[in-house]
Amino acid sequence: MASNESGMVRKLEAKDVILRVLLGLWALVIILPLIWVFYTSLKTNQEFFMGAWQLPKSMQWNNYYRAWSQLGIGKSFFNTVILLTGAMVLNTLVVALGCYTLARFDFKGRDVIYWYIIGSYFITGLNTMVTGYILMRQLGLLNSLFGLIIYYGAGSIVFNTLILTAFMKGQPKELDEAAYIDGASYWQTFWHVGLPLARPSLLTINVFNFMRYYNDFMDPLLFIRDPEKYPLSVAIYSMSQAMTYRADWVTLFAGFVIMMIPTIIVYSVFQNYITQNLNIGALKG
Amino acid sequence: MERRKKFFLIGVLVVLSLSLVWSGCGKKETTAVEGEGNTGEVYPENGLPKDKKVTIDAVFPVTGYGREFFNFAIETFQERFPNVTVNVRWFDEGGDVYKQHFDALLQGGNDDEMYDWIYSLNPDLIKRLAESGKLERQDDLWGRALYDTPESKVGDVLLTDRKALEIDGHIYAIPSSSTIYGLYYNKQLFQENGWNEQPQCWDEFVTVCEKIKAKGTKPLVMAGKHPYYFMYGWGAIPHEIGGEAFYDAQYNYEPDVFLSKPYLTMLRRMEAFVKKGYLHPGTVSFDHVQAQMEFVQGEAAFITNATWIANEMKDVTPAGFQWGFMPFPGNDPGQQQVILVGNAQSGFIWKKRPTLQKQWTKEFNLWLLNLDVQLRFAQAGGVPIRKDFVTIGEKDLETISPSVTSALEIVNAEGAKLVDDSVRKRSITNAQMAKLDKVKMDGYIALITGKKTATQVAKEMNNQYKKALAEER
Amino acid sequence: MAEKVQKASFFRSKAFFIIASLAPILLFYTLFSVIPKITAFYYPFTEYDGIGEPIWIGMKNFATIAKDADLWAAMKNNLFYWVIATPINFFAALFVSFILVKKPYKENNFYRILYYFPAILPSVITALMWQFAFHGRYGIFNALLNAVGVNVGEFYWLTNATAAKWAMIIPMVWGGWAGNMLIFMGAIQSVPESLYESAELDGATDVQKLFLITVPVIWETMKTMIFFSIIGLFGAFELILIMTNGGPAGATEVVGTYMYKIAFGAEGVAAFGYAAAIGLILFAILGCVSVVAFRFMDRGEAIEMAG
Repeated sequence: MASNESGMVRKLEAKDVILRVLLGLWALVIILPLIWVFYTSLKTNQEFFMGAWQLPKSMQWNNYYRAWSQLGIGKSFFNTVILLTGAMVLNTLVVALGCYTLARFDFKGRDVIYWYIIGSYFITGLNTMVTGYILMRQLGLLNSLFGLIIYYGAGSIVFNTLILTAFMKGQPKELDEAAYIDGASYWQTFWHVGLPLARPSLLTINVFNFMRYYNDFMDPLLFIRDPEKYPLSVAIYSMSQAMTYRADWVTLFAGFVIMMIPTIIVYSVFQNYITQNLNIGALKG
Repeated sequence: MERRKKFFLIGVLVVLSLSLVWSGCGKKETTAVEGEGNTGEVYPENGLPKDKKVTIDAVFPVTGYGREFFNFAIETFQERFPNVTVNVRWFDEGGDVYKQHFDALLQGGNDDEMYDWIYSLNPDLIKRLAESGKLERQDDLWGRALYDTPESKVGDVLLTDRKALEIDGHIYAIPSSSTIYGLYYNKQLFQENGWNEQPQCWDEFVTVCEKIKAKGTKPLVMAGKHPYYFMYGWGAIPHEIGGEAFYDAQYNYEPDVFLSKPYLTMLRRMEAFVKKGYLHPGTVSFDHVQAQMEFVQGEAAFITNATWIANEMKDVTPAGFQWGFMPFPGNDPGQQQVILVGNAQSGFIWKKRPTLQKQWTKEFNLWLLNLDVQLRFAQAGGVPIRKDFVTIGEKDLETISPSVTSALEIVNAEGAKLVDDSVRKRSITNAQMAKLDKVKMDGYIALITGKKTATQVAKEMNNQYKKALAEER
Repeated sequence: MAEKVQKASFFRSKAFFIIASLAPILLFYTLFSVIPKITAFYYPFTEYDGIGEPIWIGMKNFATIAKDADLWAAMKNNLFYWVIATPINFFAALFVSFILVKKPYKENNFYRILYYFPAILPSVITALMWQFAFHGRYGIFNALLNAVGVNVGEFYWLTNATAAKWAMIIPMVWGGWAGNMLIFMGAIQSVPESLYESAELDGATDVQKLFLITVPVIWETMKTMIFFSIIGLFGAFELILIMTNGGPAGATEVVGTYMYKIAFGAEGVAAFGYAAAIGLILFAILGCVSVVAFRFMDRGEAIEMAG
């Protein structure tokens, strides 16, 4: 920031003011809707139906209580925790192990394997809902959180491979070699050197994993039949779909606010971390 | 050498993972073995064993009626038959998700994952399921004595023809309720302004709308983003103009239905209505909620909807609001008015399920016709399906949902004809038929936004209809 | 004995490690990503109403597609939104990221978090909010127009084909560029500070710094992002489904909403085979376009040298 003091920057002050005003305006374009979501969650349904923008006459904190119980926070929150933890651990282990090898070892066919995985990006547009369902049934993974953990863990492999391989390639190989000289096996080296070095990137992919798993409702709806096993995302989706039949929007808004809080916290805490370590880099291996 | 081994191994792994999938096929087998030689007592009403514990799996999408009436039916059923448990898979998400879930089950093709008791599905799907032998026939229910009034039989009290229920000559489900479509309005607003609440024909309806418009209110609002809401009202016109002949033409998939005079009249009246500025200008952009918001705010006088509307909106209607119902007055003078109804058949039974479960499921269907269940249903915005419902007593009648009351009053008083528009002779499914739906919906919108004329729209619909029929033959 | 030693050394060998470490990722990926896609290749050649077995009908679905004017209109709409919204989302993210990372404004730290929030908001809420914003009586757009002296009366933006088509761009952009911003900020932060310092000595302006230093250095990232956005050509779907349902009369229909209608038609006529055939066509188009784009961008590598 020392360079600010140079004369050149001071010359640009008028431009800075304009930029800052523009940035501030955009902030308003985001903050105002958020405020709208929040105060709508405190209205009565009648107030909401009579005017979309009007402020509530009195705060209906009860909406939050109703949303809390309708979402079944106790049960579905527990399911979400199990699901997210399981899927994130599984995904991290599988992807980290694979990417470590892809990034650190030179062997014939490496590019083939890398492209075999990344190539998925070229395969979009095909609807795999039905075939995915049939597969899950044949593997006996339907209607269980365990099955969904496996499905999730496998589902985000492509994007994470892209990020993690790029990151691991950028790390110095000398540390690995030092470990080998100390007599460590390949497994030990991966565990004690490779993984800790990749920590920033692992954290980043898991923030993305979190956002993805936390908000996904389509897969649980498809693969899980027993509502006792539903995660939060399905509960909130159910609530929003039910609005076709029930004029209870204020409770839905309260539900959305509750639902958004973990995401906002996770993102706010790790934002700096993500941007520092998110290196999408080149597609080429 | 070593390298080769490596890649051989990787290859093996991939093949292994592939074969894992296929070997999974057919591992599970249905175990639908019934216990034999039951010695215990039986219930006299139905001859089913008392000592055999049975669990019925039911699937129920929660719609505008809510869960309460269904829960009530289950509780009373389980009380009466303690050995039976009804397990419900609720779909609070409503119809769309339920449909997707059901699609997945059907495509999965595993009877183990299916339900015993299936709530109504769209008529077309039901027809295909029935035709392919997936559903249990329930013909015997028609002659069964009712649980709460054993002196009368189901067929005697049901507010519907046996023929309207039959698919290929058999009954696959008995409707447990009905829905009445049409125009809903705020009586209070009409009385204050002295607007005619009983226009007898199209011209009188236009006169009312003119008066409403003169007051600065928009006469009609609909959820235009989902044009099937239009049909809740306008769909009556072809039946009013064309009578039986139109119904039959539609039922039998006769050619050129969309170019027939009754259908064209509907489109032309729609066109004229919009031109006169009677339709809320925002209609096309409104969904369910927004249309209802305009209606509650008094911006629009009429809304096309169904009997569940009062229950849906019970928390948001302002003080003094009084529900009124009107059949869609699209008829010419002297013609009978038509009220569209949906006799949602519900309680289909999946054929490949254990016998005892199926038997009890059928009993549960019979149980749904009990007057106290019907009352709960009416309180939630459903229309009772029993002719003798009024015997339930004045006091109870006062508790039913106001939109149901007002609709029933009109149905009873006017002698308008009730028509279920959704019944067809058989099902046609092909890509072109799937597209007809979109062509119709887009056509209505093009018409009311003035992009196309009634004749153009009718021609487009008819062309698509022709394609769909041609593909089927 | 000798065999045992050999075995043990095999398990400790590099070859074994490579195989064993790649096995899980290949297994999971093949099983859950590749196989469902391969088996999905069957459906486009069938007529399938979702009950029982699909019926093989060969190429008939593709013949229907060739004549399906609505489908091609929907694809054109996809292209329209892609051509308009993608560059906005791309360049807005680039400029703002550059400012947020490189400018010393106090509030930047806050904006870095705040600007991403539209991407977190559930699409149901986003859609509802914008629907109200486009409302004829109390919508914000009419209010803004009034404020600058343009009176459009009670105009409902989403009821007019042209207005609706253009209006939908606003919510797409509002929540659309936040993800790009995240990636750009990461990339820009990785640009060595020394490059800027030497440029400053040469008297470079901010715009020059952005295009002569930042862009060349992060070019690989940008290429990947352009590639992603091509893949997302047919992605615009959810907001349109909720806000206009493809209407009015198909004005905002995109392939996603169209396929949805075919596969889950309102009147329940399900044509899964046909929907799957459309999917296969999309797959073919995206495959070709992305391979071409990839080749093309590879050639552009020379630009990197300029940095």
